[in-house]
Order: sequence, then C-alpha cells, then structure tokens
Amino acid sequence: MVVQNLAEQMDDLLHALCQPLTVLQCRLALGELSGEASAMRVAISEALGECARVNERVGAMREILQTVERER
Amino acid sequence: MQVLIVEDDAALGLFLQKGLKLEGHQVEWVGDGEAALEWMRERRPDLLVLDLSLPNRDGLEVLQEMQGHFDETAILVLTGRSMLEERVRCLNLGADDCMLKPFSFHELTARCRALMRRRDRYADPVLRHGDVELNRMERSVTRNGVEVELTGKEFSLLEYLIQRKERCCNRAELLQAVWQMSADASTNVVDVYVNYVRKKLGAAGGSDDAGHAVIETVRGEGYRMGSSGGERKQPGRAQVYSVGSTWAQGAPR
Repeated sequence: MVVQNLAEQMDDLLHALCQPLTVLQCRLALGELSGEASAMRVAISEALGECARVNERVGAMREILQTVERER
Repeated sequence: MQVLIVEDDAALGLFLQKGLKLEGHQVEWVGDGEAALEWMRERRPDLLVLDLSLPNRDGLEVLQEMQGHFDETAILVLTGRSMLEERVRCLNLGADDCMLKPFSFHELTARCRALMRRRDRYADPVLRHGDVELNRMERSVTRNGVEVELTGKEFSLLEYLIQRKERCCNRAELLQAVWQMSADASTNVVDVYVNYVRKKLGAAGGSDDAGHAVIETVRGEGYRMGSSGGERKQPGRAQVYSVGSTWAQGAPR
C-alpha cells in the first residue's frame, strides 16, 4: 500500500516536473535559434524562472522520500 | 499551416505558440478542453497540439469528442505521464503521434513537419474555388489557368478564405489568422488586402468586377468566397455589397 501510494505520488510529481523542464529546454533552444545576444539574455532569464519551478518540484519529491525513510 | 495548441500551463502554451509562429505557422493557444473544442468547430486547424491534462474536459475527452469529425486535422498529443496504456488509447482515439514531456523544441517541430508531410502526401495540395486554383505546396495561384502573382499575405488571405469555403469570415478573424494581429486593432489592412487580391484575380479573369465575384463582401459582416464559385456573374444578377463602395480603401494603416 505504502509502495503504491509512493508510486502514485511520484507519478504526479514527475508529471508536474515535466512542465517546467519542457519549457526550460524549449526556451533555451529558441533563444539559441535566434542567435541574437538580447534574445539569449531573455531566454536565460526566463529559463532561470523555470529552474525555480523545477527546484520546487524536486524539493517536494525529496520531502516524500524523507517521509518514507522515517517511516521505515 | 494553421495550428491550435491546447495546453493549460501558460508558460509552456505561450512558448509553444511563439516557437511555432517562428516556424511560419498561424498559431493559436487555448488553455482548456472546452475552449479547444469550440475553437476546433469554428476554425478547423491543420494541426492540433494537445496536452492531456486539461481543465474543463481533459485531452482524452477532447479526442473522443473529435472522433470522426475532424479527419483533416493532424493531432499531436503531449503528455507528462509515461503510461503506455494512455498513449495507446490516444492513438486509438485518432491521435497521429504522442510526445512524452520533457521534449526538445527541435523534436516537436520535426514531428509537426513529419505529420503534415504525411497528411499532404494523401491530401490534394490544390484548393479550388470555381476557376481559381491555389496550390499550397507550390505557393502558386491561377485563375482560368492564368498565373496570379500574390504576395505572402495576399496568398495567406486567399488560402484562408478558400479553406472556409463560402463561410463568411469577419475582419477580426482575418486580422488574427492572417496578420496575427489583435482582433480589435484599428487598421484597414484586411479591406485593403482584399482589394489587392480582387484586383489581381480580376486582372486574370478579364476585369476588376471579376475579382469582386470571387471574394464577396457580406455587408456588416466580412468576406467570403463568392457563391458563383469565381465564375463571372451574369448581368442583372443580385450583387452583394462591394468593398469599394463605402469601406475604407487605399494603403493599409
């Protein structure tokens, strides 16, 4: 039961993690495509915002794992 | 190519819209399933990029609703969940391809191109309306076999109108679809370009009036392809209201 719950929670969090990761990857690719310094600067700035979203979701995953560890 | 992106994550939705616009497509973005279905019914895009996790009817429900009604639209599904069953279900419901997030922008655009190539292989690239033929692959237009040289925007305008057959398209819709401008933009660019296209089609058809018969003005509404199918009307037949009469013309502003 615990394992199943953990799997479901991880599936949800992985799903949530995919959103900012996709934006991050695509945003940088688009900046690179434009080839202009100003576009790249905007891309980096927006990518950093997405990194914050990634960190937030990684933090949530870590918390779940720590809870499981404590319960073991 | 007209593309609809359905993605509830605003950052991703806006990014995909921006990226595909740079590829030269006309791209709209909506954030939920209900809005997607509404938009599909009105515009019938060439390509639908559909996320599965959506508010107000999820992606699977959208696919179910679309089944059998939008055969001309290619569907690319985006999902953040790795369940195989889900992807199989999407394909069985009519999706042409599925992509697992996170994906690279280059892969997304390559898959979009591949989907459209596959569609184009089976679809006739020539749109016809009466004696007007528009070749989407060669980007050429003829009338009665006479070549009509159109600029990029003129071509897109005519293509959009022919695709809607004889449905009336209002100015706001044309501004958004062809010029990617806000619907309430204060400009006469649509009227001016309709006149440009009419003149060129008219010249190929023998007179300016011949151009007016191809693209009709629907008074107070907008424009549509003429019900006469682009063939010259007989004298005395009721004419629809002409753009040249009162609507602003001249240079676009």
